[in-house]
Amino acid sequence: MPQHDHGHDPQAVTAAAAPAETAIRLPHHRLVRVLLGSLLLIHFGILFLNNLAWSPAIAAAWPVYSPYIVRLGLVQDWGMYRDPARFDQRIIVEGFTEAGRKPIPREDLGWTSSRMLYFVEAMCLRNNILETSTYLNWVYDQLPETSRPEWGLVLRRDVKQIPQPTGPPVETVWRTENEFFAWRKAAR
Amino acid sequence: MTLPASARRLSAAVQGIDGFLFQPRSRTPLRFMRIAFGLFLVGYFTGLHPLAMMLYGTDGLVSRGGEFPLSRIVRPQLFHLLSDHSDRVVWLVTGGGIASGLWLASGFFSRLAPCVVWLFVSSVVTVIPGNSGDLLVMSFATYLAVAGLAGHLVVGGKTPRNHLPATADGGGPGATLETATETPGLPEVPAAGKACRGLPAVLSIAGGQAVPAWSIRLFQVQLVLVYFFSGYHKLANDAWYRGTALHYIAGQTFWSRYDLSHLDDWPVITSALTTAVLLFELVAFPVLVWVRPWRIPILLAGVVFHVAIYVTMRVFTFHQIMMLYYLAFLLPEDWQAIAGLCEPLRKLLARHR
Repeated sequence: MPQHDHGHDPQAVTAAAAPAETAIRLPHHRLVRVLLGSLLLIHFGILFLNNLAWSPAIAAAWPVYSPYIVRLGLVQDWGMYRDPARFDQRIIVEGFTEAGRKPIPREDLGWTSSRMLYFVEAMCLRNNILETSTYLNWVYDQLPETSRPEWGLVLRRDVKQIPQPTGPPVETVWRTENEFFAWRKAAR
Repeated sequence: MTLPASARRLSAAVQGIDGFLFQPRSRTPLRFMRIAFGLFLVGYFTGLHPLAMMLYGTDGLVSRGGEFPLSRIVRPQLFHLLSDHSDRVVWLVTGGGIASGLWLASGFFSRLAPCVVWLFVSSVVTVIPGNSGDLLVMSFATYLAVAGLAGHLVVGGKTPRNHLPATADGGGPGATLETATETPGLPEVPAAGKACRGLPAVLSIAGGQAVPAWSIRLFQVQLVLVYFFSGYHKLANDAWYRGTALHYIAGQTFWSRYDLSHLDDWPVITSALTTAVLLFELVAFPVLVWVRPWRIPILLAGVVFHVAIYVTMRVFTFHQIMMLYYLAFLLPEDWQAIAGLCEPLRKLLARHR
């Protein structure tokens, strides 16, 4: 391989500049370098393919390259805010008591991190009753005994339309999108 | 005999790729990335612990509901290898993740440490619910493991042999970074030039030798792909194409740290910001970060971009890990310039000592 001009990059180190005592022995075989370079280009190519939108061509290539990225943990999905929701939402857990429903503060539920909110939102969107019931029962058991509502818990997700930016101003209202119940034995 | 034009072009292309991947580069960015990622993992695993306990603890969701639908991956992970319903395993994974992060930051056994880190990161990423940021953490751990196995993270004066590319004359371009800065032919970075003078050697070059560029290129190319494809996929959506995306994002109070819905009264601003985000992701960053005069301005713009989102939106992990990827684009002179900026503070502290 010809020697490159490293003059454009101050981080590059020229062979000529290396004093003899600091020079590193470099008997790298050219074949090794070509092989490593090819592997790196294949790696970049696979990442590129994996980033493209799903299509028949990508679907055909997927079985070939997927073991590499899946097993190494290099799966790519950069779709954050790709399709912003056109509605606002609120997710609430309420306790059922004889007196009615009473919201439980987020801190008592352990909803103190964005990741936990993400988990709860994803659970609501999956709309799996068994899964949500398991979660609510777990939440119930984490509450201090004195503040456990006697009848159980309800997880509710309300949504409200965000008005279009160019449309006429409209009043939007909250409506319940999902509601999950977890009854305690005493209430059944 | 002269080569035909097509052969010369091909030769130039091969030479360009070879230079891009194997040009000797400072190992300083890798050093800082190793330390920063190790410390980042301390916070990362600490933050994951409550969720891990909720899912995989002795009385967690998995043990209550059988196989919870989020726990299947084909990568090696400790919850499946050991137990997915044990407090001890949760403590092992999160505690081990924190310890491995500190180990990585310390620089001891720098070939083994990133592999151990990879195992712990692999045990939590996508096993515990997360976002794109977690995928970036996984990729970071993978690239660092590869760099570690190649000996590019070795600390101190021990540069592994045979790690720099051979040159045409058969000689080795290996040299210390000190040599790099002393090389008369190398251009000086204006911002760094004055700032570096008088700094201790440990700050300026930090005992590093050169390594082939490919390990740092893994991080750089990954970062560029993240931006480009974020923009590419956004463009397929009507809200981004028509400039209304940020109007809707600002209206999502559930994911906002502050109420941003008043921005919805200013469609001109949200529309301009939407287009700016698209242009930054699709064109500005992926192209200009490779252009020398634009590198620092575009990185600074990226920092402002991510800090602004972090301050206003409840997005976790993504922005922090993106900042770590940015380190791959910093040169030793940039670190020296940063140290130079801190010099007045250091003097002030020294005066009061």
